[in-house]
Amino acid sequence: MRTRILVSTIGAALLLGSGSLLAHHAFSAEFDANRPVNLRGTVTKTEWINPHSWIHVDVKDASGKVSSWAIECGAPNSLLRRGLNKMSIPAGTQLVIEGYQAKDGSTTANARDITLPDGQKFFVGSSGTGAPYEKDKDNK
Amino acid sequence: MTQRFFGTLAAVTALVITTGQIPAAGQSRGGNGEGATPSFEPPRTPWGDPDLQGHWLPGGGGMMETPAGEPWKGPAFRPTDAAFSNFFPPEPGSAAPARPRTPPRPMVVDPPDGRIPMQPWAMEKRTEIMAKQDRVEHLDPRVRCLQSGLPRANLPVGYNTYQFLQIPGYVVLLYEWNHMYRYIPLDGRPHVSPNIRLPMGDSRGRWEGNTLVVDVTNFTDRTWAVGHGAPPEGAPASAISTGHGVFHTEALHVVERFTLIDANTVRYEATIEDPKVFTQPWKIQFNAFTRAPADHQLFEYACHEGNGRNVKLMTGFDIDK
Amino acid sequence: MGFVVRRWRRRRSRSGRPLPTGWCGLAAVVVVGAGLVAPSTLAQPPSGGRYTGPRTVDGKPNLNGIWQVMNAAHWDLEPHSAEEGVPPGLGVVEGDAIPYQAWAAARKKENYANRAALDPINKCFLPGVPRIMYVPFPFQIAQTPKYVVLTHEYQHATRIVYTDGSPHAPPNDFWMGDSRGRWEGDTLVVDVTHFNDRTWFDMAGNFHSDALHVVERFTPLEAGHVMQYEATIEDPKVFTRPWKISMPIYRRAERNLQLLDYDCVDFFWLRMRPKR
Repeated sequence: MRTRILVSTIGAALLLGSGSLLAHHAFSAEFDANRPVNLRGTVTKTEWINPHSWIHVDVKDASGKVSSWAIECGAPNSLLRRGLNKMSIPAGTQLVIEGYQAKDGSTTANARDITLPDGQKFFVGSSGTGAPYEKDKDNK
Repeated sequence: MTQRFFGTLAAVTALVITTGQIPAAGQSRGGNGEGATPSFEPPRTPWGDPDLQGHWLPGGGGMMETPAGEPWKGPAFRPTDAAFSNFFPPEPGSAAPARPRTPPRPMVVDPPDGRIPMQPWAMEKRTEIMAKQDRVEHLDPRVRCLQSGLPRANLPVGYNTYQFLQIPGYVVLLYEWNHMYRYIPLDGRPHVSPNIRLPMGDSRGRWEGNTLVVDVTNFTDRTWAVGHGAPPEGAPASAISTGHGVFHTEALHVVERFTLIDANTVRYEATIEDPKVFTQPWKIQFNAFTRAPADHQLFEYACHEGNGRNVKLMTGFDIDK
Repeated sequence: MGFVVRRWRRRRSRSGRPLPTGWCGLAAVVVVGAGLVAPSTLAQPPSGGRYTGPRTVDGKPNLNGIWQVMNAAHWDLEPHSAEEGVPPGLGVVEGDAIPYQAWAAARKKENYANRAALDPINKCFLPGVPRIMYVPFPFQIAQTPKYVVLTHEYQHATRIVYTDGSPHAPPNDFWMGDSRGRWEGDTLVVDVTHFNDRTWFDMAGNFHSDALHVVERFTPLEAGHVMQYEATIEDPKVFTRPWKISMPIYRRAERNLQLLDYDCVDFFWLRMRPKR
């Protein structure tokens, strides 16, 4: 798969450095900006690894069926610096996850924000992949 | 702590990037709009050397090279407020942090046209490398968790910060990403034998006035000399101005200059030569290091340990098999 | 690191004669003993006395320099005979045996039986603490009043020991743990926590959980050519009680020595190189 830089990743990249654009797969290679998701799920596992942390959640749909979602977040160090750590989201935590689903429709998503049970919201986006949250509102 | 950190970071960065100097006549164009290196009397270590110690954040770096051809001529990209505030939320109650000013010039300051001077064969090979990033044999060595090489290690990325230490006889540079380190001896000892090849090269340092000059040789050929830099708006990944995919041979020789230009900024220059790849030595310059807030720490960045999924996604290659 | 040992066994000197097998073939290490008493039957600390060597500006023993362990701990912490490619060792565990809970003792046996496949170091993963301290590669210490930084030739592993009084980082799954140190007299005491459960203590399959907590004590002796290293290991999920290892760490004596680079990941990719 080809990696492509999306135009407006440059903006955020100024301070962060856009070299990370090609450090991992581009957002658009795996995720669909036109498939936003808002999930409520229960954490089953977290993986604090690079280049992306992962939160695994069980999501129950209206009919009661439970599916397992893999949620891609930013690098652990960037989450640490935003105030999240391993103890913040232990297994069993109810989370609200806002992000974008995988292009292939699988139960995988790239997260922008997560909200904890106490209402605290954390931005958990990945830097330098060209995700929608790296774009200006005016910049399509 | 987090909000204050980001607010302070943004403020410091905005201050740093907007500090500029009037270029002196005869100087090569400075990166980030600055010209002559400002004169600044740095603090000193107990044994009298300029003191570069502390934690550092990646400094502003814009384009690596002058963009090639239409439609990317003209002013460089504009950073976007929305994106910036996502990554650096303002302190509650305070105004949004000032957006750092875009550096108006490429990092490449020599040759004067701002383009990396690759030999024709090397330019072809670079184009091939960039086109085949989905093949594991061409995949960016950093993505494979090899060490960055130089001067690439000093180019800004969002997931890397730095710590500089000084002990008698050495400057020690720590890089958060992939837990890299460099010991730079200052005692004038010769380089190691040419039989020894090192991904980060072999560094020998000396002070010239307030500038740390580091001579680096003995590289392997398995890194990229540079691999960062923001392409201009509209430029595709393969655009030459990304600075990506600049491979080298074992003949690579890098001379670095680190200068504290104010209390919170280290300017970085690197002269890069490899007569097998480039038509001439070339130079980058920009303010690479911005002082981090007082409570900043480097955290472990284990790279290879969790990288299997990432490599598989990019190339289909399964390192866990 | 099994494959590393195999490579050493195939090394030859420049004249073509085979070098000694096993880890001894590595020996460029010069042990500078300040008249140390050789260890007795068990891993007894050298009977060195009070530190009299150079001190830093803040009055602490000066640990700057390059150090290396020289023993068989990396192959197996417990007393063990030689095997092919494995040097014998008197053991570095106080009391000789690691006090596993029953389930964990069984797991250790499985680890040992499948160690070539299971040892995480064979995937070039970071070795963890205390294992990084006794891999057969040198490390360098840069010591300032606020930081004691250990940089390792093996896989450019880095440990930043904060001696600035700062608390531990927030909880995380660190491979090398989070290290906070303080001086007790002339001993550097380091508290290491926030480990994941992915590392082994040695090549023999000795392991831990993510509840691992390590307290290290570095005590430089006499003129500073040797420091005594102790690590107390506790993990209530795996062991029945805390246990301790101890061994000397020797200061490398060569002038102009520098760390080179054992970039395991680089070799990993060279081995993986797809056939054209």
